[in-house]
Amino acid sequence: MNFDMMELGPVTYSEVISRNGTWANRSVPTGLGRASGALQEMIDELLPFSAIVLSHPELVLLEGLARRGYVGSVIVVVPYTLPADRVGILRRNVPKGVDANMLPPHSLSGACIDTDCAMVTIGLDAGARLTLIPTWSKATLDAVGQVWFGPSILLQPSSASTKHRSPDWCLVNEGAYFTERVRRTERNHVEELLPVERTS
Amino acid sequence: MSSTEVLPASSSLEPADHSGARETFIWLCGAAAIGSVFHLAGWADVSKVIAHFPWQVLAMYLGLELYATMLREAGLLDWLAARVAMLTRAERPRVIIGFAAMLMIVGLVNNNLTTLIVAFPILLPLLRAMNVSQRSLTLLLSMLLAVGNCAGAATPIGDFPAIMIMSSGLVTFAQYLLYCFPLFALTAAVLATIYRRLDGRHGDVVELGHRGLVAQIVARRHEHYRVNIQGLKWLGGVFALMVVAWLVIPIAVVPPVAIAWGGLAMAGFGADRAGMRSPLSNVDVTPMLRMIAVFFAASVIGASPLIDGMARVFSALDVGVPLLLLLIMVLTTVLCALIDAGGAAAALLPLLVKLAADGAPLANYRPIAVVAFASAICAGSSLFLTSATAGQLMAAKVQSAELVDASDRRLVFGFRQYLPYGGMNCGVQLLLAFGWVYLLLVLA
Repeated sequence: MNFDMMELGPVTYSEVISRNGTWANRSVPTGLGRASGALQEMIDELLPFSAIVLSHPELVLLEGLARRGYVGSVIVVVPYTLPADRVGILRRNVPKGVDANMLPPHSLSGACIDTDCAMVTIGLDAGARLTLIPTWSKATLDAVGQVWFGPSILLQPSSASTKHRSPDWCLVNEGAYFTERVRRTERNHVEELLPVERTS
Repeated sequence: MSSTEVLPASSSLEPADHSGARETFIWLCGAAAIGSVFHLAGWADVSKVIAHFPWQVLAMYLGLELYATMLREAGLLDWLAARVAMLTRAERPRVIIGFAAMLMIVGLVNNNLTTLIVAFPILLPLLRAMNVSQRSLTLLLSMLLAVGNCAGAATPIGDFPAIMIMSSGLVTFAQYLLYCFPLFALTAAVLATIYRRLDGRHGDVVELGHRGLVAQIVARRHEHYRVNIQGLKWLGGVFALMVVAWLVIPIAVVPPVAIAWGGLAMAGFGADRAGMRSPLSNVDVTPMLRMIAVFFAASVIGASPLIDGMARVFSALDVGVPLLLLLIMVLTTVLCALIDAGGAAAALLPLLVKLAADGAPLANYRPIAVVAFASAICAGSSLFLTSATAGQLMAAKVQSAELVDASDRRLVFGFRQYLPYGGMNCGVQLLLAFGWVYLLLVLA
């Protein structure tokens, strides 16, 4: 299990790897190397929400929210498998100006009916209404799916191959987990928040 | 319904550490058993022991612990550990020297257990990412344990035995610093050099690219660590005042504990103004309970005829001061290693006080006797992994961190791994200490 990726977030971790020129790490889908810039553009779509729940830690997203002066509260759902010491590091490494809390998935109890609160997940577009998301994000979404009635937003800053094999990532049907999404098109244009077609 | 209402504001992710509590309960049971047996056998009057219980040592320890908590709350220790981790650039020689230096500097004013608790969450992920070998891990942690013990003994406020020695009145704050600090600083430097050389000879081969990646991940992980500058300025100012007061004001005029508590109160007011969380909201009573148990057992043994008998035997030995000090050092080292550094030190301190009383063999050499005693405690607590609480904490942290080497083999740090290096730590510390004691005797 790649604790560094869990702790920094997949996009942040990939950014560090790509900066270092090492792409030998099989736990990271190649599409993530180009994701950071597009992700920054997508953050604007999240600003209207009064609270954001990140289904996985992602440092660049928190930094982006801090840069844009986001005033709402952020809750980061941390993976069960992340050791407590590392959660402590995560908590202390929150960028200045962001009101962020770290919580395990089971703490998100109680139904959320407020449409002002968004569950946010970063995934990679795999085509055919499939998306590649971190395994622990899927675990979070599964855990809160029964009680979460607010918007569940998928940010797709890049596309990825469906052939990517790693225990840290899994392919899911977009309609089963998300209500809206923001994605980068082939022309490098970032779309607005659009509804996802629901599937059973 | 507001979104924040449906989500709890906070939840603790830190698992409760029951190992320390269990150990504390064992100590409490042991203390109760010792007290009962000694009382029933007529060897010690427990009511008298409680009446003469050295509460001031516990009070001072508590005061300094709370001060250390505020220092941590200001973010200084975390920030410092993160900076050290970044400066090492994931190079093992730098990791050895960097963390040894940090432990030594912070340990001078902070007990080494607290320092390790802060440093380990930063150090262990670094080591995991570096894919260090079993040997490198053992070398590094063995060195940190020994250096931490040296730092704790280097100042009269560094650790529990040092606080106890200063509170006994055998030496003043300034005398303790003057006689002990050079020895322990030298010992820490010698140990770090030895380990650096040992590691260099059998180092792992780490690819340059991988090292760069690890360094960047470490930098990113701690990029947003912040220090409460206002709080830190206040805490630093108060600490400077406390040190000056300890150095200048005689123990008979104002006891050290009063200075510690006065400083704590001032620090508390300042921390409150700087927006820091009060240390009182997060007080862990486990170490205090353990200390009370250890102290009680030691006081019962100290009040028994056993210590008087030992003092008579040592006084009757016509072996000269150097050999007498060597005997005390060996006895202290062995007991500290086998039982527990704090407990054995508390039990043997009355013996040292009797041997340094007016008319006793060490009456004219009190500061030197204190150096010998403090260094023996330090050496004894470095012999086995179980001799000091810090060692047990290290073993538990390494186990939970699930460290693996480059071949995916699980790394461990236990009694067996530490033993050869513990022997070396103890040997080096004793050797240097006796050399220093002998030099002081010659100069006296």
